[in-house]
Amino acid sequence: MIEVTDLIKTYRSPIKFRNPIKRIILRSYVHHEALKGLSFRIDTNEIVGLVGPNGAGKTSLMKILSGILYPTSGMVRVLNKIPFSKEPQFLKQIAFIMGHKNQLMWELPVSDTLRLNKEIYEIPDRKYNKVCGELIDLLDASDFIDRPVKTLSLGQRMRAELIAALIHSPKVLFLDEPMIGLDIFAQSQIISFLKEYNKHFQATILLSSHHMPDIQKLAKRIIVIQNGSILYDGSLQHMITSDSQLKTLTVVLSKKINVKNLQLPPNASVNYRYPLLTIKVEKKLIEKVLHSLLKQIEYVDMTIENETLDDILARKLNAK
Amino acid sequence: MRHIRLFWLLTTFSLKKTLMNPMSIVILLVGKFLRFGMFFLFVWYLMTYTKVLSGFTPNQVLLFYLTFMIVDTFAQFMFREVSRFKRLLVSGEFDSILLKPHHPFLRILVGGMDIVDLVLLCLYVGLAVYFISQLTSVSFVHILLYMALLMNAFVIVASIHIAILSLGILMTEVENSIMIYRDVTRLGMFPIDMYQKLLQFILTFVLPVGIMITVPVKGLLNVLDPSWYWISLFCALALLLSSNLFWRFSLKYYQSWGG
Ligand SMILES: Nc1ncnc2c1ncn2[C@@H]1O[C@H](COP(=O)(O)OP(=O)(O)OP(=O)(O)O)[C@@H](O)[C@H]1O
Ligand SMILES: [Mg+2]
Repeated sequence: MIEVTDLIKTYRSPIKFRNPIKRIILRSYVHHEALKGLSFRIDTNEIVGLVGPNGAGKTSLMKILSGILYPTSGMVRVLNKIPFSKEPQFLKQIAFIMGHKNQLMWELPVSDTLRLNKEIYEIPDRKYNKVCGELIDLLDASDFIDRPVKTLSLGQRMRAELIAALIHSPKVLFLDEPMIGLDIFAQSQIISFLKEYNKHFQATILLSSHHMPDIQKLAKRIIVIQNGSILYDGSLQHMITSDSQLKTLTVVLSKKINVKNLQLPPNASVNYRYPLLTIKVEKKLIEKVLHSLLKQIEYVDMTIENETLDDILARKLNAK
Repeated sequence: MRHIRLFWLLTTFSLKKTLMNPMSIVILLVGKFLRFGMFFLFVWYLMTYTKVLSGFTPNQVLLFYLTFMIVDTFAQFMFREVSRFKRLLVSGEFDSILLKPHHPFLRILVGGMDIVDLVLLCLYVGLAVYFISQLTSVSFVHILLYMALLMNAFVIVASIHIAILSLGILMTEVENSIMIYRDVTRLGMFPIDMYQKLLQFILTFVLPVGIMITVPVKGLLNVLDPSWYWISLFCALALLLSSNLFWRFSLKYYQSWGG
């Protein structure tokens, strides 16, 4: 479905000399390797989360997979086609949605963009009406579909964007930070929509986000990239269970204590601010800590949590 | 067929966008009429001028000028969107155009046709028809020849605009290229035979203004060596081919901003 082997992308930017004459004559460039030999494959109907710090190369990767950019070297196949050739048959089966940009015509109503896309993607009337109706329903968009795009709120525009991008029922979706700036309600709406879409159309989805809960809700597999190289590619659950080393114990106390008098393992980190006491310890010690702690304090509430995906990722990224 | 429908839809939307802002239309119209007014002043001036200009009568010189206006207005009418290309590049909108399953030229080259210019174009064509009918010795064959050579000129204009777009991708710079193009073609307002030899040569083989404007009119007036038919055809095809190659080349170097 998506196959990438030894993908390298080098950006070239001109060195800016102060002296304009030098700038024209010398015209030298700095080369920046944004992707350094990636290889992976994604099968049909998978949802894969793409994560990594700013500048890791997520957007660059998606731009190459969708055929916008030309790879410097390496092999890229999507739907058994070379994306950069931009065959209409290929382009009709993919969609690339960017959270911070949009393809809607700014001055005109959303419905005009939809009509234009109907022509562009040659969608027959019946299918168009059906899909359009479904999408508008799923995304709850009927009340702003006829308003000029410039009058829409960010969340409304994002939903309109999704409708416009999915009107041709693409098989492969590239979503680059689609949830950026959306409220929790809109986020969960879009997440459940994407799940539904993935099931309904057997679609393959590659999704980048800096918001881990989104990734956790959608993807079974993640690809972590940093500095243009793959750091981890595999099951999300596996990463959480195998890499999570700490547990966090949060206690709401009913009586003040003196932290110094607490008897805890030496490597436990303790944070105390009445009435909250937070203790981070290694997984295997949690039982012992709990046991001894219960004898030392009085409390009203207590929770034990695994590390969040953010914590695990941060550790992974720092280790490199 | 489908491309024509799409093209039509895009034109309607672009018109709709212009109509959203009535003030800009007023300004646009004022600009156009000023140009047209200047044109008439020039014609009037030419008509009161009886001397022969490098072998051409005022009536004939007027035809050169009209042909220049037709080619120039045609370019503005068809390729208006080219001047907005930089905005598309910088805003990243060009990315989403590349993702569409149609040729990008449909949007970035001919995607913003301007109806006002079409009206002007018809006016100039009407005037040209009138002045051609005023010529004493003109045969049907020469009119056909004129039209064929003019077609070549349109192909050359299209190629130049394709090259401007390609350069735009490589340099993120479009307005200046268009300005240079328009300044150079302005030299074709008069038969290039008026200029000194070196400039004539440059205007024919380096910057093909002569082939775009002077050659068709000379064909019409039956003062053209037949070898020019082939030169014109060859030049148009070569430019079309090379500008398309240049376009493909530049797409490989497209870096897409932001993200
Ligand atoms: N057009 C360009 N020209 C030069 N360098 C670029 C260009 N686009 C991206 N880069 C560089 O390539 C690297 C990867 O950028 P990319 O946009 O792919 O990162 P990203 O993972 O999407 O980051 P973010 O999370 O901030 O969106 C960065 O170092 C960036 O500076
Ligand atoms: Mg990005």
